[in-house]
Amino acid sequence: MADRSDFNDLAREEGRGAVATTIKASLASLQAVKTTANDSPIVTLPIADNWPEPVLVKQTAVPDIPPGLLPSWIGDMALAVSRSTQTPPALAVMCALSVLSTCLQRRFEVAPFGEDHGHTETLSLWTLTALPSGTRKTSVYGAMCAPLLAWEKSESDRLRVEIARAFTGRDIAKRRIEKLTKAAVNADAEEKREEIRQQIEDLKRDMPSEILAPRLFTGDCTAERLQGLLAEHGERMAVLSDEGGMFLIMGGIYSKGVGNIDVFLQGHAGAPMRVDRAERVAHIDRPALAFGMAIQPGVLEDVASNRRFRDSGLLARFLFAMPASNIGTRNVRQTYAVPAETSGAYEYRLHELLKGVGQQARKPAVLSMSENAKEAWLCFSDEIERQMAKGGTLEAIADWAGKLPGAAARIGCLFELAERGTDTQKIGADTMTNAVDLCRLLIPHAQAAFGMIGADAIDNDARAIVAWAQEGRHLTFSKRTCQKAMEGRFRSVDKLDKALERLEQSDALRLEKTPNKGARASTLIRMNPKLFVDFVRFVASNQE
Amino acid sequence: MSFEQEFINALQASGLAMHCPADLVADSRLHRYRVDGDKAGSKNGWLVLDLGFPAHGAYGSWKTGQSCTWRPEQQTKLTDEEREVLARRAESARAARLAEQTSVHTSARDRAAKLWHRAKPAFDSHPYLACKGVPAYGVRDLRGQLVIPLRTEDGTLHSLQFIAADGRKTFLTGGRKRGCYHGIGKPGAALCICEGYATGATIYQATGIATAVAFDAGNLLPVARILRAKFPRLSVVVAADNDTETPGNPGVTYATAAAQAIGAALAVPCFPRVDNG
Repeated sequence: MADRSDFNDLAREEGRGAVATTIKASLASLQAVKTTANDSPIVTLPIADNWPEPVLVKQTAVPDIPPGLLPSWIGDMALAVSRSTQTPPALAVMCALSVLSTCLQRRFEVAPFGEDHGHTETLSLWTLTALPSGTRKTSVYGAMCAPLLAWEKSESDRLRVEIARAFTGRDIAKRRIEKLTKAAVNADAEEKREEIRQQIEDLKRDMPSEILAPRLFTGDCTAERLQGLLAEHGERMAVLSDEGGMFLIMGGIYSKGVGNIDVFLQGHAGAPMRVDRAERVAHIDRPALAFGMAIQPGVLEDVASNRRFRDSGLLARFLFAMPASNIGTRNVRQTYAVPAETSGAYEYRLHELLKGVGQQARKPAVLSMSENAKEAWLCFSDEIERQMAKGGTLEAIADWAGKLPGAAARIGCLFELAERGTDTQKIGADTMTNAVDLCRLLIPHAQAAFGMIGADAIDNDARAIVAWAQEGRHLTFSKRTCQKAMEGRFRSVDKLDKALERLEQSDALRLEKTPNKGARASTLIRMNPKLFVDFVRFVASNQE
Repeated sequence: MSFEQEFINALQASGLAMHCPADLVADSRLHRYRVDGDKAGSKNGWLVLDLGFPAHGAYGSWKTGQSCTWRPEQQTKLTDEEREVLARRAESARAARLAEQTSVHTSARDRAAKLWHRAKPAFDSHPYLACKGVPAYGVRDLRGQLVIPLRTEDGTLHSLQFIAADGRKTFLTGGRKRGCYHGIGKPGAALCICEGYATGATIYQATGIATAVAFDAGNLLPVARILRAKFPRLSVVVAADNDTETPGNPGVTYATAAAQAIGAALAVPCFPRVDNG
């Protein structure tokens, strides 16, 4: 074979089909094809292999969070709701976690090393799901929280007579006390005054206690009112909402921009609250506060602009889910209702878990871990600890990752109680494995969330440049061209320079100086071809 | 060793040795010469030599596009003034070279147009086409030679490639090649770039994807850049020649560089291993 080098030679030897196959394979995968010595005729080499993978904000790929990891009855409900609303399962799963926490927090705790050891975790969970507007977050929250509302209503109905009686008794007593106080002031003789004082003391002592309709959760309240709610409802409360208004309150919308977030932080940790203000006094020994929120990614970015939220550890307390929106791919003809037996079982089991919820706070029951469960939890904790070390994959979000083993223990305990009932005392290995698996899946979601949280104005500019280049297929262009094309955004070269520098650091582009005779060198921008791969694949697939 | 001899050695080392070194003239003006090994009458080489202080020169080839500068090895360190003088002279030589190049290209363009009009449409039965098993796509026949046009992206004809019946290929002397190509087919969603006409015709025949013939490996990158600028939304495949017998495999090397520069896919033909036993 004197001459076997080009595609003409290949066509003459192997036929035109071989040529077509090679060209189309190359086009389809945008990968190089190279001769190999073995039987396989084609070996693919990645294109642009002299470019590293670009690292752009918002690029972290996130896995699905399957409802199968949840206890059976709650997982079935999450799956059915997700199917019915055509939403990512992660939304229903995160909401389910918050609902479980709402039901069980404060009454139960988990001690990974046993009750005697002293280290306990409350069962308060904070979940935050970011999904764009129009993704049916309200429907999911409505379906998942419905049993809680039903329970609140039924309890309110059951206690209505008692509440009315207590209210009336207290009202009468208060008015009588007022009247007696006046009489005591106007009394002529000391004996008469002493007699009235005794009557007032008796009235106060015998005044019926205040009975309130039990509440499990709220959607929007100030930090001060939250302290009140915690004090009134057995030191437990949850904030379940598909809107981000709570963050505005935390940010200080009602308090001149400096919100009181201590109540939230203490509520997650179960740290005692002592409030002694002129108008109100609240002593809460073991507060338990759960969060379940679904907000828009843009709102999350706004939240992130508040430095106090990150520095105080508020954001680190949330378990994030950043599922991809499925808007545009939903089947509008699909109708699927949550089966009655699934929603019925869900409601029944939740109400079973709520038995024993009372107005008075009692000492929480403490669950321990079985040996195997503890080993699974310790292995996971050790794995996270190593990744938080300098240079580790979780170093940048060590504040969040440091709380993850605790969250795994909390989730394990919730799962165990949900699956086996409130009489259980030990967490089994299978349950803890599910909890650990779930927490592992949450790591990339948190990385994506903190990637978004860490994003600043320069990142936004940088993303705009990449979007412009991708849209127009601009692989190589001058800085001037870029500025001209995005005049509205880059009114100054400094702003553009900062965005380009950020992209260069992210390996999204390279900047090259091109000398110009008698003039300043111009800057040539070469985009990383790997940012354009999807487009080429799309074109190639359309050709087939 | 004299500066002239040193310069001649530099020409030899660059593969552009003069066929007749005695013709070397050091008068700071651009001269064309026959490169040793080129056919008689051709003047593809060019040189400028100035032996004033500081001595310097430049040389290159219109045929390959090569361009080099020369300075004596034993020259003392230049002062700032001398450096400035040297830069001025180099600039003037460069301007002269560009002017000469433009003149050469213009002349070749006119000749190419005349020859192209004189040529007749080629038939698939042309011996070269028949041998390669490809049809004639926009090529002509001039006195038995297949004529392939070299055009820029605006369609201007700049030069011609001649392919004899035995496959011997030549280009119009002095014609521009860099950035010129011969297009086969109309671009749809994708585009191929390859080296030779037969390769391009084969790819178009097999895939229906429009193909640009860049004529040699060194021209793949300039053509790729021009076509990327012209068709920014197309996905491009650079179809390499797999020159496994040539050290460094220039076909794959240049094609890879071109593909990487514009974010294109790279396709390399693979042949079944031949068992010599």
